[in-house]
Amino acid sequence: MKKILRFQLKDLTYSCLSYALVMLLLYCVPLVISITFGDIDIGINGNGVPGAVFCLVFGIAVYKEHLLMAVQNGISRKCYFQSVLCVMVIAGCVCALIDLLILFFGVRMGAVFSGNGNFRAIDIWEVCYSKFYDRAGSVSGAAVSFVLSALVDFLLFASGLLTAGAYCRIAKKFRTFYCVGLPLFIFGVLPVIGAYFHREVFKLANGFMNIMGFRSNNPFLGVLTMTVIILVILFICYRLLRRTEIS
Amino acid sequence: MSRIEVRDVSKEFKDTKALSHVNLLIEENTIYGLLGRNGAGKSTLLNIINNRLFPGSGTVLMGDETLTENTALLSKCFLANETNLYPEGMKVKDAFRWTREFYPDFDADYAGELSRLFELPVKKKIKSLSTGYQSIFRNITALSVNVPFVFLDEPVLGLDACHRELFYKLLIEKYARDPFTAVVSTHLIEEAANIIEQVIVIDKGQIIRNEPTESLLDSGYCISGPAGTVDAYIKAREVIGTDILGGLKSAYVIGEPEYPLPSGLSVSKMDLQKLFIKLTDNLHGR
Repeated sequence: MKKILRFQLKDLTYSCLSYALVMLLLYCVPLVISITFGDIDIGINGNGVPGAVFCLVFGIAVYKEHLLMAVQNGISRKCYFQSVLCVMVIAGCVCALIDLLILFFGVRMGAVFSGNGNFRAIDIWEVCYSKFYDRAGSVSGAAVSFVLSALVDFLLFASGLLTAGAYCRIAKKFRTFYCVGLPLFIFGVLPVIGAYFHREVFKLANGFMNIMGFRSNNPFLGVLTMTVIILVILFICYRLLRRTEIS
Repeated sequence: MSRIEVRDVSKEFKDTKALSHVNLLIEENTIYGLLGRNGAGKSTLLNIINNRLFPGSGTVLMGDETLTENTALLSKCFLANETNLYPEGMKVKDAFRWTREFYPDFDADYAGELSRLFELPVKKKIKSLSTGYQSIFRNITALSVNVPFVFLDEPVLGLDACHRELFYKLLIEKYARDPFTAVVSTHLIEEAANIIEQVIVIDKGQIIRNEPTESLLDSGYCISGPAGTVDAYIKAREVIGTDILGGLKSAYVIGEPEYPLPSGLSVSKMDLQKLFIKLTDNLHGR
């Protein structure tokens, strides 16, 4: 398992470094504006989303290429899956850490350099669980944010694996249809269905907010829900991978 | 002593039966020739042994353990076939470096030496190599990997005559220096005949012959001469096939020639390619 993990980590290192650099640049732009122009209020919301998208893309991108390399070099699918799990944990934690550090230093530097408090970087979890964060200390709040961000990253990474794993299992003649149809379904058909059945969607959204603990301001419920979803997705991924044939 | 045992393996692709109850023993330190017509099931068999495809039924064992999905045992096998499983952007030299990570006995110096001999551009990406050089890259990796079982599926695909001869020479040299098992699947039977110790003939998903090359060739002979004389001679003998050219006829007969021969007839040794063609022709009803 170590051999294929080393190979996978090589790609992950390059990707994470690129991601960290891009994120740093993206945060520097509003920071510089806030320092230069004291009368402009700048705020950054949605911290954690880029990391999750990075994990989704990385999960999709590396799955097939690394699986082929593993099979070429006598690594079993089981070992490969174990390695992928390690990569998922490492990638998720690294992205969550990058987000946390950028948020922390972004706010600090904004406060130090601009002096007039016109730079705000808002953690998405503080919006979702506002009452919890009001009560929590800065360290425990940061720790919970880290765990939640990492779990979302794992979830998106696992979704990427599922997307690529399904691609590898379906017959070649259906692959183009799958590649075109899946994004079309998610970003086209689903929203239309959602608009048509808005009452049902509202009920679903309510249920989702409940099981994620948004209503009760309980992030631990969110942790539990996401853990269960991740485990289910990974189980399906393993079932798909176990019988994937390479020819 | 480890050996690979293919036990009652069958494989189907939709409505095509690729392998049907195949039983096979691959012993250590032997060069096998896996011969078969297009679609006979050669590549499927090699892919199943090397854990790329799963058998529909049956098992593949190394020693007493199942080889399928067994990383420890799979690390003793290496399959080089025409499917490029290396990452799209990987360069030849990087592929050698990573192969050494996966196979610690990979001889990088030897791979470098062979690359120079074949003039393989190691700084190029694998996918940008020509068909011939992709074959050369795979063959160099297979010869340098130093594992007990090496499987070469169409190793001379796209190679010119010089490179083919050089490859066979290097394979024999390597085998003489550090014996290993090589299973060579090829359509160029005549060229590979001299290096093959054991012949496995597969047809329609079934192993129809599996015996040492010498005994296979000694199992019959070719008798040639005027058509009428040959016809009279082969009556009541087991004939696997005939060729007619003008008034001359050649018959491939199982058994040993009986001397003295009728005048005008001559005996020659059966060659592997002819034997293969006749064996498989009979099965195809030609």
